[in-house]
Amino acid sequence: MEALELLEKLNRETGLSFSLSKEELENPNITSKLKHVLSSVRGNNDRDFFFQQFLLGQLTSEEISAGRLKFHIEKSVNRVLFLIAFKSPFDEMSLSVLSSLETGNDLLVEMDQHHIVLIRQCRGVLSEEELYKTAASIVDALSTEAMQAVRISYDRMVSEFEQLVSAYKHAEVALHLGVTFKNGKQIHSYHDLGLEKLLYRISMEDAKEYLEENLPAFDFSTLDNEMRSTIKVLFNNQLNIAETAKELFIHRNTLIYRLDKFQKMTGLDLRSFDDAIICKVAMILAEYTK
Amino acid sequence: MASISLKNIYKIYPNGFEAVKDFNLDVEDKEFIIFVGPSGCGKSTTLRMIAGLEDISSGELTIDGKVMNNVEPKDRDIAMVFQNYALYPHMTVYDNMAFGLKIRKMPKDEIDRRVQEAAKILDLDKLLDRKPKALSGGQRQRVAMGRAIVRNPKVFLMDEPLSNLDAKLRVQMRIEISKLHDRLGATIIYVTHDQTEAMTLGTRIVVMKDGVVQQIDSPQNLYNKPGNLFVAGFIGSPQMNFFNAKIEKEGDNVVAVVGQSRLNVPVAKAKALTDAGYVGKEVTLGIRPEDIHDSQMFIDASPNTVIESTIKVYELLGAEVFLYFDYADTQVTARVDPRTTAKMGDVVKFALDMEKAHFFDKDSEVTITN
Repeated sequence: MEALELLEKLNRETGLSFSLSKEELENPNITSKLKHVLSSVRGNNDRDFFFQQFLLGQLTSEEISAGRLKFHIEKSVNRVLFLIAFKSPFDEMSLSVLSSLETGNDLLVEMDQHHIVLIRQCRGVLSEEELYKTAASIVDALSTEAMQAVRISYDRMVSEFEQLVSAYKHAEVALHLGVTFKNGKQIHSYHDLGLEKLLYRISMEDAKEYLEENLPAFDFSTLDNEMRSTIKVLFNNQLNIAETAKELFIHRNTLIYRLDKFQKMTGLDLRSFDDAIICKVAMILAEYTK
Repeated sequence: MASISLKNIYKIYPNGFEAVKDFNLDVEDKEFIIFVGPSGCGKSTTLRMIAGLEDISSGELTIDGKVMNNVEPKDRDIAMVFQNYALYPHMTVYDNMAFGLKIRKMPKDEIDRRVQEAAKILDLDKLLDRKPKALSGGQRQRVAMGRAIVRNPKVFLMDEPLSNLDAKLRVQMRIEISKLHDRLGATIIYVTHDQTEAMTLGTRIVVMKDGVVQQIDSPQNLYNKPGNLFVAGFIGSPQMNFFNAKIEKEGDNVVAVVGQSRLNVPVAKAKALTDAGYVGKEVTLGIRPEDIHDSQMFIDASPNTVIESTIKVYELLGAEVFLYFDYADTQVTARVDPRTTAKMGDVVKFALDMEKAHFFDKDSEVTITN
């Protein structure tokens, strides 16, 4: 219940406590008034609050400009935004680790008990690989030092302050899609999501129709791990049989046997580009429609 | 230190994907266990389940007899070193090592004692005042190790800790980690995709594929007595050569027909193949590159195991030569003496040391005889 959370925040920040009835707690007007009170209490000097509202897209361009001037935030500078999702509510230890990792101009914004945004200001332009490494080092530091299980997502670098709003939105999407499509991965780049990013926008009905049209009698959830990893490695190796067999540590003939087996089950010959595309799309949609 | 037991451990994601299936392992106190396998085989997921960073879907994990499934990571008395370790850039080596203890509110004198002790073990005692940017790659790696050592944990969990180092430094650090294990007498579980790292570090190795344990054994046994085709191909570099072969009886002998060659199978292996009913059937024959010989002496002594082919690539590595050629639709690698006279384009005879050959079932890929 949002009103209850706001009351707790108010109590934490001011020591004031109010008791409200169940009906009052569910009343949207009361919730709105509580937000207003909290906002007033926090006053004009609450940088965290400004950033929260800014990232959530709740500020007008005038309010953003005013906040930027008030908190001496440079408008045009390279920045990258990382959204860190904690499995358990984050603690002081996690905040200490993140603060200590900073390189001089990091900003931490606590979005809620499970999410922290880290905005890092960069002198130059970070490559995709550098962005991934930075994200990975944050995950590993939180795992090894604070013993926290986290996922992290990010978008490409932005050069204008206002672009951080879309970077945050993209990071949220990447996190959501990462959980859906990338089992067990802790790091999700919006840019790397590829087809998943496009396909999750189509309606559930269209997705089901596609599966029924192309693979009427096949259920991807019945695929065993061996076949799944074979297909994944084949796609990663651009359908190259020799490279795939090498990466899987299997004989070329064993790979061909597996592909023939898959063709018997589905009618799709993964050595053909067109069939491979149908399979790739169908596998993503099968996850999505679950 | 500690013993660890994993019983019937599964990791199943919400979409039904089984990342780890029926994992069973007993790690003894002070053991150095390696999880090895290709990318996506479930080795890191298993390590993360031991650490508590990933939920266990079913099965039981115990450390020193205590069930850990629902114990928070910080209460498991473990320390981790991961691939993408990041040192705190504004802190000295001392503070980097002390940081984890400080945020756990440990008394200052105890922190100092532990940091000094770990620094001595890691040969970092003269570098304690330096900042990370003034350290070499190997020194930084040692600081990352130091941060785990100061915790004085029951178990060390390491996930590809050397992957970000260059090849030379990796070899050096491998030796350091091995020494560290001896000095600390610690229980270590170490994840790597690099079979050389696995073979040189571990007392026992767990080979995984597609979330399933393929074999748990000593490095030597994995190399000499692989349990299936995958382990045979994964362990060893260059990889074992595999041929399609048909097993036939030839008088009192058993032969493996590979291409145009009829290779004589030694008595013990012939008996195993016969007893298991493989005569007349197709199998996979595996032979390591060092068991293919081009010396005349070996060919003369073993005339019934000879194949002939044209050398496609000659690679001199100093102490050995790799010869690459095709035989019976298979790309073959032979590791021979550098004094060989074979050159690219030569037609060369090779004798296979069939005493060292391995036979695998064609469908199940399980070893018939080693």
